[in-house]
Amino acid sequence: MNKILNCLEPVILLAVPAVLILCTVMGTEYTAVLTLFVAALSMVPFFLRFERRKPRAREMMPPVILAAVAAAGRVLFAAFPSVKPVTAIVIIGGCCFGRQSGFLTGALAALASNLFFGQGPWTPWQMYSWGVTGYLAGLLSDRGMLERTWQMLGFGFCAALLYGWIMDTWYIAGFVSPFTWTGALAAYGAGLPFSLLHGLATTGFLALTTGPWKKKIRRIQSKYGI
Amino acid sequence: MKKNCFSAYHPAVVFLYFAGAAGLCMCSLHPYYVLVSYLCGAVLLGISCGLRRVFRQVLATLAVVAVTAAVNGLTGGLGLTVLFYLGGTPVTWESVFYGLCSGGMLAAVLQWFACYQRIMTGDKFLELFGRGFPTVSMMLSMVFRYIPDMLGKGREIRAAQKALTGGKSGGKREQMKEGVRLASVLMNWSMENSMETADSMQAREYGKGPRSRYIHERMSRGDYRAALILAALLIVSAFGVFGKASEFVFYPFLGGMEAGICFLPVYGLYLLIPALLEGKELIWWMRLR
Repeated sequence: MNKILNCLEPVILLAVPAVLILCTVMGTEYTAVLTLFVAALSMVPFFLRFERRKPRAREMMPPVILAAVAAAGRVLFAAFPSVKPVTAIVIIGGCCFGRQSGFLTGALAALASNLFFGQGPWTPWQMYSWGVTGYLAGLLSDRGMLERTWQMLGFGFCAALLYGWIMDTWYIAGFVSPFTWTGALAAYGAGLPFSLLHGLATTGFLALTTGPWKKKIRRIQSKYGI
Repeated sequence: MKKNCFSAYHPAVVFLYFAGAAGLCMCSLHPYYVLVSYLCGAVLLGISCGLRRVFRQVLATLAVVAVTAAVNGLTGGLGLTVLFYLGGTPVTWESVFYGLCSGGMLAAVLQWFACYQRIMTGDKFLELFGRGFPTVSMMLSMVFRYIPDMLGKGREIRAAQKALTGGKSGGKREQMKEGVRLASVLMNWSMENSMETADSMQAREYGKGPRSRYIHERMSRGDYRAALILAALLIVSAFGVFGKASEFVFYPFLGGMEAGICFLPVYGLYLLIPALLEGKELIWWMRLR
């Protein structure tokens, strides 16, 4: 069972954007609700796998704390619109605690912080996007590809763009019809400034925090043996 | 917060109602269905949050409708009733109307989520989904608990920093740096504290034996009856939405406006059930007085 879930993870993660693109281009009916359902469902195997591991209390804490810091950060940084430290914190979490914790950090941060900013049909998408960001960060750092600071910064920027792309595509899939390339480009164009700002903010936040946060987390990891 | 009598039902019943309302809403672009869903959502929002909240929500959602109609009208090229030409490309009534309907649908969905958040509170959500995912729901409730805790700690850290730096706050750049330092201190402090919490949980045998719950709710006979009524109405409305209302077409001309109209009362009844329950309660209360 665990093995199956392990192999299934990347497949499921890729299936969501695939379904999204297919539905958009083919112009299926009820796209909005269909893709929302797929996104929500895609997260179940991750949660299930974490449940089956029966984690100790100490293993549960890092994603909880990071998600809470990320959500509180959205409130603390409310003075700077679209400077949200969530993406950066999720990346650091995935990098230090592995892909599973990274995914959980992202998903929990999205769900919890929307308590302050309003739940909506975007909640499952945010959970998915930030979850994937954490998962990818864990995956890449397992391969030793996030050791240097510039790698972290580059990944942070790309992850923010990916986040924006997923959100924009869902809007196009559900609410623009008939599907035309000019319409899609216009919607992406409208979203691009926000994505770029989000990317720059994430890079900036990562540039300031990557070094010290990694050091602090490593210290806690060796002190408490997690 | 006003207590809503619909929220006294079992979380599963409440969740069924909202899943049906938001799901059907997302599936119907028929103008009358969108309108009915929007109005019923407004009524429920008014009952649970007050008129001022409805007013704010309506203003915000009108903007959503306008933006969606504009985007679709200016970029979608189908439809044959040309309103005017914009730089050589025709803007058609049909594509503007599609934008109005899909914007209205989005607005209605947003309204349903606003109601959902008010009535289906965090403890109900956990009660419903905590059984299948005990660890993840435990983690979620810990995040809920840590956020206010962290905001408090954040104020404490800020006060300490102010005392150290003499309380001068510089420009945006300086504020930004302060914010980053604050987040950093917050993470370190909370992470170390949480290890102690984890040890305490372990010492008190966390994870051994079945999980106990703060609210213990069982489906009562009334809950089953409500669920049955809701399910029956939901099935009939779903037939209206998927079977009949989908005959309505936008392109090339608007057509089939009268399709599925006979199902509208059922759909409206389904959406208004919480409001009707509230009304019934009110009438009883008047009579008893």
